[in-house]
Amino acid sequence: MVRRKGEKTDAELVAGIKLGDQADMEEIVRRYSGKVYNLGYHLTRNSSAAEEIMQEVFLTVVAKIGSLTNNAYFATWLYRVTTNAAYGYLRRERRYMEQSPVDEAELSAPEGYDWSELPDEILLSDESSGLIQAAIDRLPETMKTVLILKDVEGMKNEDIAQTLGLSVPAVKSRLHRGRLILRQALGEYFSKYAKGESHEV
Amino acid sequence: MKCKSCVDLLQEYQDGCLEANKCAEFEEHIAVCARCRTLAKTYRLTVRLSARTKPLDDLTPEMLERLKNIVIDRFSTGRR
Repeated sequence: MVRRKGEKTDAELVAGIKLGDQADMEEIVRRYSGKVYNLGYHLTRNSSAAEEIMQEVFLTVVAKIGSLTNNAYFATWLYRVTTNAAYGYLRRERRYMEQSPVDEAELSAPEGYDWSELPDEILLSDESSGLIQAAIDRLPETMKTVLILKDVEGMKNEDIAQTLGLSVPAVKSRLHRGRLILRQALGEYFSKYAKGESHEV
Repeated sequence: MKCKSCVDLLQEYQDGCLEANKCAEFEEHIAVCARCRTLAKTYRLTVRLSARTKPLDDLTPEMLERLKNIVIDRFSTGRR
């Protein structure tokens, strides 16, 4: 969220919107359109869908902001509206994946090869970025959403829990398993650089 | 601390919400256990790499303009 010094807080903007202040509505759009779009994109991997979701979300803001009882929780509410809109899109497109069982013992088995010591040009390459994005895309929806909200968007566990209607322990559990799945995918990919093999990029 | 406990505490350790005594135990364990140390390092790096993911297609000025027009039109006409 980009808020310049002297700008109104979210709660102040929401109060103004409820009273019909158009400038406050425009500011909320400016402040959150990027985050709503990014979240919609991360969940659908489609820019047209992300735009559609973003429009749906802000029209929901116009229609239903009066129902928000605590103006300070606007961001959490907005993220909830966004995830619900994205899930709705995925269900319509039949792309919504339910939770699938994950063998945690296998995921958390420490490997011998420490790929964290690889050079940055390998770790931060476009190929590695593509790999982790593909691995995120394959996660079950709730796990993917928790991981995106936490590790990509930087939200707190308590806010994620409120956004998704989960308990904090449930958020932590999905986050941990999602991270272990990604770590396993990266480990399999980087194993080709194990000691004794080429470090060519 | 045993390796199984170390795995269970990874997420809280990574996110800085492990109690001080547990944190100390965790760090003592990974100092002497190479496999758990590798697990912790690769887990941390996984989180860092995830944080770097960005949409391939950014929100464009045209998208933002369309959004503003739609929203303000709905807002100003009072259709709620």
